[in-house]
Amino acid sequence: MSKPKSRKKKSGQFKREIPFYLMLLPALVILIIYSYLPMAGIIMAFQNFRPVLSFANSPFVGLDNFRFVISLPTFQRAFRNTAIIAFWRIVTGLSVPLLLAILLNEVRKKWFARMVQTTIFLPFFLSWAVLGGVVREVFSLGGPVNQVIGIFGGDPIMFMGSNTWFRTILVGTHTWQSMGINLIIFLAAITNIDTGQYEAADIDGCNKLKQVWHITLPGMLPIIILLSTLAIGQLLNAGFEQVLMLYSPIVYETGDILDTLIYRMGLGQQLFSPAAAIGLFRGLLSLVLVGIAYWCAYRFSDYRIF
Amino acid sequence: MKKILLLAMMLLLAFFVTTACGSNGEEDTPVAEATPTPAPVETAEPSDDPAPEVPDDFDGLFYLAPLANPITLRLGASVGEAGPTVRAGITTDQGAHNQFIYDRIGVDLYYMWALPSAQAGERFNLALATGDIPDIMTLSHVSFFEMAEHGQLRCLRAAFDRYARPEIKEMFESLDNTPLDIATINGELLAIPHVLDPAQGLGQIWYRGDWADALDFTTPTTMDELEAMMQAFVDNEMGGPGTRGLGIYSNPVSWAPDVRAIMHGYGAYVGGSAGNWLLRDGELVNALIQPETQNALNRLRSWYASGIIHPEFVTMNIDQLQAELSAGRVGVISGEWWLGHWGGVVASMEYNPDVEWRVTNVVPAEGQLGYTIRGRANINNFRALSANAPEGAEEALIKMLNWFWEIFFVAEPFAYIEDDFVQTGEPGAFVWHWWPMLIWNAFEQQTNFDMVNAAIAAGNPDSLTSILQVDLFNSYQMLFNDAEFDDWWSHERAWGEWFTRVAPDGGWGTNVDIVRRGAFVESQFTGPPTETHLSRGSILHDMWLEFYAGYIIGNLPESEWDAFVAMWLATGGADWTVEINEQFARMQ
Repeated sequence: MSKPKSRKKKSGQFKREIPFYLMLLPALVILIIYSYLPMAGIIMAFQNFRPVLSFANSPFVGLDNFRFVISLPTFQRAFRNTAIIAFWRIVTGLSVPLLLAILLNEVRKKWFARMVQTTIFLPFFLSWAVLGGVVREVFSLGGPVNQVIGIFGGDPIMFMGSNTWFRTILVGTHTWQSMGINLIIFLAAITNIDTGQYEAADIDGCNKLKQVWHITLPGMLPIIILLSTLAIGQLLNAGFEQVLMLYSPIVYETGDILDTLIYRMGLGQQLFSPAAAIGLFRGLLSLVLVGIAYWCAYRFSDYRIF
Repeated sequence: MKKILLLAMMLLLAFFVTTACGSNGEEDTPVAEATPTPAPVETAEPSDDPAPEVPDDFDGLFYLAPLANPITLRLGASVGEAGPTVRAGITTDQGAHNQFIYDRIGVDLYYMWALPSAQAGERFNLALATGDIPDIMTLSHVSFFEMAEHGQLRCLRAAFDRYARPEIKEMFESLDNTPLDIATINGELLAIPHVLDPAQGLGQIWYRGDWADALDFTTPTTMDELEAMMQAFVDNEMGGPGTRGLGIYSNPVSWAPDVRAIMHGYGAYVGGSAGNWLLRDGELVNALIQPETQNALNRLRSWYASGIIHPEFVTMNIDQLQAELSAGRVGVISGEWWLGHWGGVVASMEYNPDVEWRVTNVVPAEGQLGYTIRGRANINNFRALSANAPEGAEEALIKMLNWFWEIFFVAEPFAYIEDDFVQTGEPGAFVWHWWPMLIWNAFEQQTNFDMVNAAIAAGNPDSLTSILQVDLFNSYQMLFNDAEFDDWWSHERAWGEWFTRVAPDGGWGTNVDIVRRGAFVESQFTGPPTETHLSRGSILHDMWLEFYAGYIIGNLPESEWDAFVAMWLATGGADWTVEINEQFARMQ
């Protein structure tokens, strides 16, 4: 007798939720149109795709495109660059705002802390189309950085054309541009820490450094672990727009990443199939990394999406 | 009731969201719908005769006779800067010429897109990929041969023979019909090549004459003299601190100021992203990897070390080079005949009225000829018709080419069109710029040069036959006979037009001299791209671009050259060379 009752209950619940499902419908339709239907284009990676033949008539070549791109020295180089640049973007993108959040938390003049926070957050709203020109100018031979180097007697450095410096510029400027958002998250995490712990530490004679080490950092640990693990999913995202705006052939050796290689091969030179193969390879690897990240987030921070 | 209301609102929201996403008014609305067009006023019966007699009273309009049945043709367009006569905001897809084409020929043009050229190329690739192919197309070399190979193009032979203006046919005949032969595959004429004079791409050296005079330099005739002059420009800071002898940017072999003409002085006939193919001992070899190319790069390397070349050229884009030129910090640029009216050069004269640019031939390195290179056929792109285009599209395409020829290269009908069409259209809406069916008279530049110089000598423009020639004559009058300048024809702009196109010692005049002396070699290969070119061309392109840049700035030792050549060959260059030679042998 109880089972039919349960079905009836569920059925009633579904009817009540119909408006919510309908509210979801437009988003679902858009998601399918723009995110799932284009996935059919993956077929290009397994074809010798010629636009004039369309998808239907381009010859199927199996994994030839993957073998081809993996054999390319440019792919191997771009893969290496992507991993290195993305890794350091994650490391600095988390550590620098963390440090800043801890320092800002200790500032007693709140107006000053808010001003610094706003200033740090501002570049986040600017696109790399704008920032690219700024960065190029700042690091040019006649730019302010080289002028400072000159004041101290150093020789000017062609930062934007140097394979020694280019990755550092990329990582550094990315951190500068994007650290505002993580800074806010970390500051929010700090405000959740019970202030009673600091008062107790003060009474016990704990200095500021020890308070940070024993109270602030442990209190922020869940959010640090969460952001770090989620960042694993970004390990193959080295910042397409930023690199595109800043690189040139002379720094392909250290600055060419998978996304820029795909862009040049696909849209620039019409090598659609090899470009699609690289894109699919990157996408699958990213999927695995995101899976690992979510598993870690659940395991270490009890964070679940699904 | 509330639930019903909520449900209705949700459905309405879903409808608006989905329709908003799926609709793009600009793309879904044909031109004809936006602007109602009257039916054609007269109709010419198509004749079975493949080559109709030209009527005795032929006035040029016969070849614009309306189609028997009006048709709609789909096309895409690039948009860009138009001339001063065009009202701001009017682009080629909106121009009144579309109305004229419908009124006179019965062709309703439906623009599938109108985008800046870089995006238009990507949009065209997308259209091809999705099978949504325009009816009429402007195709690159690679796209043309690919589409031709896969039967995607319609044969235009009958329509061309029947409807094309005699002047267009004569132009191709003057080129030995080589462009048409290139566009003919398996006996079918699959496109009308948009050709330029082969002399258009000849290499030249442009230099600051005012600086040379100030430092007592005469026109350089050798590479050593050129180097001495450029070094003096730098050492004497002729343009202030940061003066550079030679202006180049991160793509040292491109269409704009680059190092081609300098390298030609070493017999290194590089050019284009795929390089030039040279005949050596009966075999075609790519100029990009020849020993003389290394010699030329060594010279550029020494110029970089001595400050003649901008220390950051490898990271500069073309806009930054223009900025350097505009600010008057560059003494020499190498490129083609038109550089004198290129943006950066004109801006440098606007910035400082004392600036004077001069031009000379390729200067030879020791033991070299000082020749440049010329293509056998200078095909800019191909005007083609999709195999799925509607019936009658062949005739329409040819007549649209006729129309463009008519308005541009025939004086009398131009006046007719101006009256008929500017009045019926909107003032300032006449925009031919970037029109996909534009056809150029390959010999127009030479004709203009000859006729305008003759008119200047006679002191009378009555013999001139096109609006362009009159403009050039007027620019001479403004510069040398105190005619009044207007907003568009500033002194610098008039100088650029006149010096590049008319002056005997200017851009085209120098080309005339090069051709007269036969001071050029010919690029030998004009065939379709090979399989390796299609699959590896971009990788090889990146490879040499990266190597050249690193080599010139001294990041790589000279000994790396051999490793580069070996890598270029191993990465596909060797296979490409074999394929090119096989094709070349078949074409002989």
